[in-house]
Amino acid sequence: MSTLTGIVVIGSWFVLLGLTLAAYRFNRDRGDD
Amino acid sequence: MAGNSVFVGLIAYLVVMVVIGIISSRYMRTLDDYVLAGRRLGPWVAAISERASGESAWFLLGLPAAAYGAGFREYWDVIGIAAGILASWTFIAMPLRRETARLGALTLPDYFELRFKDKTRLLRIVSMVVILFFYTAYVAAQLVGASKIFQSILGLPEGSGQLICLVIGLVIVVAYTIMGGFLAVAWTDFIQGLLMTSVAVVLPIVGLFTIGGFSGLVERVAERGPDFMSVTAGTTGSAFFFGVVVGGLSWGFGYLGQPHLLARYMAIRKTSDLRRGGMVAMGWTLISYWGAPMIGIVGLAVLGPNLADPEMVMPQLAVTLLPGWIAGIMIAGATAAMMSTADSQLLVASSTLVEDIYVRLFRPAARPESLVLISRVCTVLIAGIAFVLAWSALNNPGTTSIIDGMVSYAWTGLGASFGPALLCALWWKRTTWHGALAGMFGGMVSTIAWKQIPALGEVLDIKAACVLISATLVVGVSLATSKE
Repeated sequence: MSTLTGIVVIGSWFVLLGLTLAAYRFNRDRGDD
Repeated sequence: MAGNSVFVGLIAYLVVMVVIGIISSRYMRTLDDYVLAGRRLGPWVAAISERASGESAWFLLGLPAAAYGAGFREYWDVIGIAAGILASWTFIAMPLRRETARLGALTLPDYFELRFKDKTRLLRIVSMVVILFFYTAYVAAQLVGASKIFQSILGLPEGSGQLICLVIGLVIVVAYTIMGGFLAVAWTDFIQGLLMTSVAVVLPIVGLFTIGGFSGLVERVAERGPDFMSVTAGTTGSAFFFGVVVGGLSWGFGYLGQPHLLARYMAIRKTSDLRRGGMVAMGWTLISYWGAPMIGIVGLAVLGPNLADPEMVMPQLAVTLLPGWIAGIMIAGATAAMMSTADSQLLVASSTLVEDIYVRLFRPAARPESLVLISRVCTVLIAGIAFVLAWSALNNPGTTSIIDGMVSYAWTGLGASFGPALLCALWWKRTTWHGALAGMFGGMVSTIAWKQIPALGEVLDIKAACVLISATLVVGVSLATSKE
């Protein structure tokens, strides 16, 4: 398994986790009705 | 296949689904209840059920089969899909829930008409055509998938056996959908979503233990060559970028415009729940989707490269590695994936017929009780048409590619028709009626064109091309017709 494959498969997981948390903050002040 | 214990696991699961339908039917009085569960869903049920209906037969059969054949390059699909799910929950869910509640819209065609104050009814009619056209094929593909699995478990012959299995799948899905409406669909999908996750996680892990961990895996798949273990799949330059990366990532575009998923956002209790819902949905995705291709990769190592039907890699792996009754429940997970998709789509298609045609165009003052009854009749009607389509597909040679073809066709068609128009309608004030109409129409027509003319697919992948065309039309036509 090449380094690139490792970076893409595992790295993308952490990037998306980070983006999910960022999205949670992004929508924090937009809710509540 | 593995006989009685597998069968028991499957039957137990189907009984639970019907019981949920019966319980949910007690909570249902109006069309709002039938179509959106009275907007009472909590974040966990809304999120997990959205994920379960978003992932059809493709998730536990198609994707593992693709990874079984091509290896790690399938992770590009996974990344695109996860990004699409995240974008959908972040940029569409909350404004859509807020706007549809404010405007009193029950369905996507409702929303478009009210958002653009459309007196001509054209937006409603075009979106209705898109929904009925693509969903009938989509439901039919799910029924074909369910029938194939039932048939292989029960060991029935082709022909009459397939017909019986098709009827079993149809009756169960229709039964709990018409009894319990959206509430039943949401709760059965919730259970199905949890089942799908456990399959995607447990099977690869058990498989890896069996073959001696990751080094055992590398050893066993070595005969496929180094490309199997690489995300580049042996390509370089533009073949790598446009073929492998863009082709894989573009799966994500479809998520922005699937009415059966959008219905989940509209049905959630309050908009602040959508924030937690998004986290739950992404948690599901980050666990399940990184596991699903591993089913195929580990499947190659355990079962060898000569499976007759690669789409059966998940069921075969379950039967090989696990005790019968657990394998039965895992295989039920695959039928769960199909049913959770088919039920939601049936509901969207029937709500389109009732709410978008009957109520809005003919009988605005119809009584709530009679609308629920008419919705149930329409559900049966659409299921019947899908059944006929499924049966004729099963009687065609090359059924496997028909299922795959139908799913990716419907996925692209819905995503391209609704995604860009919806995103602009929610976020860009200058979006005009003309722009939305052009985008929807362009998305539908380009999907059909890309399907009919294979040469176009060589220029750019269908999933990326049609969304791009639709988005260009929405923005371009809106700018041209905007009065500001």
